[in-house]
Amino acid sequence: MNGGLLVEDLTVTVGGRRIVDHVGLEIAQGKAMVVLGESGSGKSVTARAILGLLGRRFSVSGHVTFNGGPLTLGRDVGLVPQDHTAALDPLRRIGAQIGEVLRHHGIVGSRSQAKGRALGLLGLAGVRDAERVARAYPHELSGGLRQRALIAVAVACGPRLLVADEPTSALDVTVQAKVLDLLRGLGTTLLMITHDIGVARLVGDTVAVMSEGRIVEYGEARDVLGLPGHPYTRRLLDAEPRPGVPRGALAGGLA
Amino acid sequence: MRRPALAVVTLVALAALTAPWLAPYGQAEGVLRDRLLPPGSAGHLLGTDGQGRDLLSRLIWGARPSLLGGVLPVGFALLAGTVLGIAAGLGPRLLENLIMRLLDVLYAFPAVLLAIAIASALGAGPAGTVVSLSIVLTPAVARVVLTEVAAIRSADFMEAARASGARGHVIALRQVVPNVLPAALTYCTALVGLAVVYAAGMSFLGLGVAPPAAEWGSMLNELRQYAFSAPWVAAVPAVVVLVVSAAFTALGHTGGERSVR
Amino acid sequence: MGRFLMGRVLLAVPTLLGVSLVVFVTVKLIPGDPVTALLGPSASAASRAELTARLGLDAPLPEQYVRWLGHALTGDLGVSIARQVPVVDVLGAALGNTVILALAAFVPVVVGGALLGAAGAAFPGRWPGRLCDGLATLAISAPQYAVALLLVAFVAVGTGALPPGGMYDAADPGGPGDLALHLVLPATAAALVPMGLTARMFRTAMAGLLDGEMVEHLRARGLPERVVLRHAAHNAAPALLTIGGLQLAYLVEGVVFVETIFSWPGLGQLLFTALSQRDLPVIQGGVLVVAVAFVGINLLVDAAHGLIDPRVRR
Repeated sequence: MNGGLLVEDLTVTVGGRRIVDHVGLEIAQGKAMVVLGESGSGKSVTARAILGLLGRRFSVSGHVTFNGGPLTLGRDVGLVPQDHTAALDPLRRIGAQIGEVLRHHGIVGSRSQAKGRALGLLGLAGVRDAERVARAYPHELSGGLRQRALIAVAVACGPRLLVADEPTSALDVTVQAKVLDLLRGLGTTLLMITHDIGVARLVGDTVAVMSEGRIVEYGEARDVLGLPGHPYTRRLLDAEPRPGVPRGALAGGLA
Repeated sequence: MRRPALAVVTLVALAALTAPWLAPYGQAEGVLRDRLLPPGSAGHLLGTDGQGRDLLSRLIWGARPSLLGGVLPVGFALLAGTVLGIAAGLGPRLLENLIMRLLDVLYAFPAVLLAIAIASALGAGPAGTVVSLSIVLTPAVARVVLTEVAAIRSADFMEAARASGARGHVIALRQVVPNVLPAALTYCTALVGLAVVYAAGMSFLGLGVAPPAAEWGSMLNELRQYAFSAPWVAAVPAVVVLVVSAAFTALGHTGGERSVR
Repeated sequence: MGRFLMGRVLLAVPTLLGVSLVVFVTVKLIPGDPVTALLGPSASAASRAELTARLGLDAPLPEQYVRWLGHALTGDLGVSIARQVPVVDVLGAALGNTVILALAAFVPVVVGGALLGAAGAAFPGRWPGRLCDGLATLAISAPQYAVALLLVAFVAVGTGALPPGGMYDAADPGGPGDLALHLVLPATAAALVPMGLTARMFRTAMAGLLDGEMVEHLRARGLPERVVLRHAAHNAAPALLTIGGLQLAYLVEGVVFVETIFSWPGLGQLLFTALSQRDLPVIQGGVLVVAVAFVGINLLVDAAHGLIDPRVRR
């Protein structure tokens, strides 16, 4: 395969313990894959290993390629994190943080250019009042706006791949669906980590179910979530709130 | 690092307990003819001071007041800080504000300076030093206790107990004390090293134990004048204080205990 | 920002009042009678009564306090009993010398502490980190009086390279060069403990940042490592500021010992002499000045904190 993300034989050990065990993934260009699992299943570590963000304590082996080549952070791939409060630099204005990324990757030459571009990116991330948000410090914004600002940072350099780690679990219920729609609509290849089956249904073309560092089930979303083959997936599905329960209950459904 | 540190502290504590049997000489016993012998002299392992008194013996005798000078104030501060912290945490708003203001005021002074001022107001001598250090150390303990009380104050069982009137307050107190003590004790254990250093510092300034009784701080002060003629002798108590202080620091792992001020 | 500062200043007022009350009461408790100290034990009852009235010592205590505070607010701290000159003059000269010593020591405290702490956080568990952690622990456990004594015995006397005391050479007082030479040892003795504490606290702040999600996300943005470190340092700056303010306080109390050993003509030595002479106005004034300086330093730290961190400014 030439297009998309290819992960082969990814293994991560820390302190003699194997927390990601020979994981292989494949996402066709422009498609969305959801990695589903409970906390401690190794899904977040997998995402960080793919991005090369794990610290020295971890030893990582395996191959990660995108469109046949290596990934350049920020340029080819953007990360949408779980905790929008912690991920932004609290001491810099939103516009400056977007502009910094643009300048370091050579997208724009000057600060004034960066400013215009940042406003456009915020608009792309669904921010209506981009001028105000660009001038704001992170603590002055709502959680939803902070997450949109982080999406603007992630897509600043026009990456073809987005990695989103539980991007909605720290958001209000009303905002969750909008942010998911936005991520899905950006047209990039998308790797999303979540524990929320509702999110998986809404976003995933393909779904990989992880447990204890291994992928236990892998396939088209409607197959995996419709006719689960693995007992672990069945347990996850059984724990899902029934239809009729407000969607908001999904966020905490498996926690 | 912890094992040698523990060994040093244990050794000093043992010396304090067994000084009369362990020390080769009495603490005031000296032969003027043998004054200022350097460390390593025959019969005087660590040398002698300006009055010919054996330094090793004086250090061993001095362990008792030096350690007590740190341990006693911490004990009193533990008591006073726990009472103040619980009173502020469980009492009415007004009392809490009053206590917090008082702690703020005490925090506004440099610890040693306040201790010196109080000790000289109370008159020199070991009692004044102990009282003044107790006062200086109390606010920090009270804050630790108050933080712990605040953490469990809103728990359901507490609300219920307090709502049920006067008897409820007794129940609340019974719930709080065991919850608060571990944190306060841990903090105070780490505080002992600092208090020993402070106490020796006060005696160094002439505010502690009166001569001829041996105490590390006052020994430092007495031997100070020989820094020029017999530097090795002057260095002996300084090195002992350094080593003991380092041992306490290594045992008190975090170092957060220094945030007394 | 203006309102934030006003709020802080207003908050300091009750603290300052409390401080003045504690100073007044503490000094009133000091045994020994200033009238006897001034006139000697053989003075007549009449002259004693006359002086007592003149010093205002016959008024009720609350009135004495209000009068003392009123004078203090207008810069009048009374007359030194031992020296018979205004306390303000005595304090002024000593305070200047202490500030020189404290500032000289403050530089290694902040620079050395930040470097040791940052290195400890950047290389955890590896030899540069362990070395820096160990040095910080050693520095923390080095009481000023013990270090000062060892420095005098082995550096000043042992090598003769540096003077063992005083501010200037007694025989041939020189300029700033002479002063700098006299500063080296006392500043070292005063700096060690606060430097170690700074290192420890800054290490904790930096380690939290470097392990945190902000730094991870900055790396995910593809920013070069030096830019990431710049963000981290910027975020650690408020911590360093707060720590530095605390340590300035610690420096002043260490200076009491250091000045005594190195015969540095500063506030610490002055206070100590005043204590032994029962010179109440000087003690009162000195302790008050130091405590007010403390509250002032904390105010400045708060203000600077507000400048760096927009979250604090509200």
